[in-house]
Amino acid sequence: MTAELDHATQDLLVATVDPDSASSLRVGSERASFLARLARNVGGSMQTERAVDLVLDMLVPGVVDWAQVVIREAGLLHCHARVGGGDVERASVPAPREGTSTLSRVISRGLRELTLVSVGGLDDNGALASAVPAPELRAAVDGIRPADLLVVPLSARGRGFGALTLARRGDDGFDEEAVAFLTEVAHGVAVTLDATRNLADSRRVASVLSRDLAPPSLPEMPGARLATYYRVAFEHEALGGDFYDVHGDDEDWTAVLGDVCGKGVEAAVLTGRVRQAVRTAALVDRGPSRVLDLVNRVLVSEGDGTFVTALCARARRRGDDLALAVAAAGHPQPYLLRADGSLERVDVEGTVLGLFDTHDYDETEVVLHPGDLCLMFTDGVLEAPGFEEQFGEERLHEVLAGAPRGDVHAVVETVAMALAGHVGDRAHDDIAILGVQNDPDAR
Amino acid sequence: MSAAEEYLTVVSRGDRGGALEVVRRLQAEGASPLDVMNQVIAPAQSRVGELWARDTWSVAQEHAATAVSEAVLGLLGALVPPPSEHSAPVVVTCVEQEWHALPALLVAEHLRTAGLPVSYLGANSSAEHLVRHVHETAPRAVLLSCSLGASLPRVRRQVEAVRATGTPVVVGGAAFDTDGRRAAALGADAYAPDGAAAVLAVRALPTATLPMPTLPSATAEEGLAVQADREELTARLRHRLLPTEETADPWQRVLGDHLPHLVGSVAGALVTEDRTVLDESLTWLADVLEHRKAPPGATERVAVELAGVVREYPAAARLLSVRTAAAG
Repeated sequence: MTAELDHATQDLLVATVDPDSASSLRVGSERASFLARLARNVGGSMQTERAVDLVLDMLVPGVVDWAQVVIREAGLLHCHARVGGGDVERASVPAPREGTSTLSRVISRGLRELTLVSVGGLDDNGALASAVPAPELRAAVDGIRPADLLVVPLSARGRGFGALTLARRGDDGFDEEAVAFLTEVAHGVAVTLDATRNLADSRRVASVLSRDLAPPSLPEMPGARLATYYRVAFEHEALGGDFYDVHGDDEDWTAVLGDVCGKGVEAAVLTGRVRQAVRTAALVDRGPSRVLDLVNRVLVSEGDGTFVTALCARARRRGDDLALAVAAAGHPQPYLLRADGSLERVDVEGTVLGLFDTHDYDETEVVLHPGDLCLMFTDGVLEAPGFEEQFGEERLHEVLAGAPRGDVHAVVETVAMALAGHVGDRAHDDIAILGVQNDPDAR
Repeated sequence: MSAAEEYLTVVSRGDRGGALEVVRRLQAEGASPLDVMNQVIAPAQSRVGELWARDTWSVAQEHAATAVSEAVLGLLGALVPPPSEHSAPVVVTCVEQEWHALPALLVAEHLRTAGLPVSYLGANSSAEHLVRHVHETAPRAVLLSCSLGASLPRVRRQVEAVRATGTPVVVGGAAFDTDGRRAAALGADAYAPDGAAAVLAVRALPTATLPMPTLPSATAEEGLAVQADREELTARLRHRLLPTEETADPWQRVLGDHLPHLVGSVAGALVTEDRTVLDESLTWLADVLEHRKAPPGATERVAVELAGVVREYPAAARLLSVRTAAAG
């Protein structure tokens, strides 16, 4: 550890005597490249502690002998410090009253301060404590005394939120140029840390708000096995306009799958409303045509021009069979995959939801014998773009014909694999698949 | 019959109850959840792949067996006490287009058993999805599982995406060599051959890692070009090898399914600068074709046509010329 400390190459802080000399040009370009590397190395990290560690890694021992990043938050000073060759040490202390220590003065006034800490002497210890408030972090600075300490504020959007404290052995010190360079460094660090903290806050809000918009994990329904696949068009948003939901009693339940117009967050907000409307409607009357009728009326009455396609199925046990009453609203017809491998399409049609004040959705009843399954999917499946053509019905039939029988999870996964291979890295629409299998033994 | 063989027999039938019985008996004899994973589930799972390759098992049996093992792992996992370490979680997942989640699940359970909090994302994680999750959970590290050589170019992309956030990445799975050379070539911070090694690797990681250098070598860059053109190349290869739609013979169907992987493993060999990625893919194909009664020399013909298809990519062409020269 000390060996590394002794050999720290701190050329970045070398004084440049003649501004036109080759050596001063070199130092200038090295400083510029250090700032560029700092931005690149730390800029992508969206987590405060990790960003702090990367900053300390770059500063010690490459630039200074010891460095500390302090962030003030909720009455505490969170201190992270590192000495050459050592690990990052952390400690949190109560923030001192404003202006009573070097650190709090720098943070609140936003002006840098330079202090000399020589060997021994009570005053020096006071000076050290004033800049390094956590006792457990002071031992490392003791090891390099006598030293110069430079405390630079970290501020963003006009407010100080922390400080960068740097130490160099006494002989080396900080000249005016070094201070200017390190102030630049602190500025870069402050911008990154501020963005990181800011983002963490926004993400917390977003994740709370989006919790109800992402597809729910499905309940276990006795006598049935459920499998799903969900992929959104805008993966970075993780929310889309396709949705599914399953709810009800053990003996009489509803499965719904649909697609609202649009993509991304805006569409996801609408899916949340539609899913709620379906749940409410199903409490009154679980008949799928009645459910779609009510949801349609809700959407039409809001009259904002948004429309939704959906499939709604009511499942009831009939001995070993599972009876499905299915109604559709402008949606691709579901498939039945029989246990013997034969494939049927459920012939059911109806108008999209939200556009017309019609009240008549037809219902079709299908019976799932043990092992049979019903596959509902959105048009994102058929329209998935590929190298030469869209995924299409023919390919879907082919994939279903070759899928392992007997397990709805394996069937849905086989379709998902084929889709993912087909789409590759292309932009695609939202995709949702919901498979319902009759398995009288499932509990 | 050993417990492992017995377990394999019951999972081949998709028999959850039977599998649980084997597991409970082992536990009654004093085996820990970790012992059960290492001695029964992991070996059974690697046998499942072999049995399919030899045409002894159907895809359906493979799926059924995997489903049972996943369910058993879930139950074993529930026995593991909540994590003792209050640190950020370790994200465990499979690279995009990898659907073999069981190895990753085994590693996740290993980490949990060792007291580390885990966030398990399962199969097929895209780079976008993974990075968003990293931003949301600020994990200690990301563990990326990859079993196919053809997926190695995607590993590179995902390691790059995760490291840009400062988060260290550990890779593992059958697509890597045991010396960790491929892992290093792809920029991973560490390589772990199994769950126990993953625990050690995670504990030894730095808290933060630097972004990857942007420019790979010319060979690696060509690998990314082959990866980008893989669909075009696969289509041309398909046209040369299976010109008609009628692929009635089982070996032709399997070959057809494998063509994208073959092109992908050329890209994988180039990005890792390790020709054995391609050799392994061809050896595996030869084995699979032989068990499905392909005519003799089928794999050699595949290699020759593959060489023809990639001839405009100098490093790829070199890989295949060495191979076809050795074979011929």
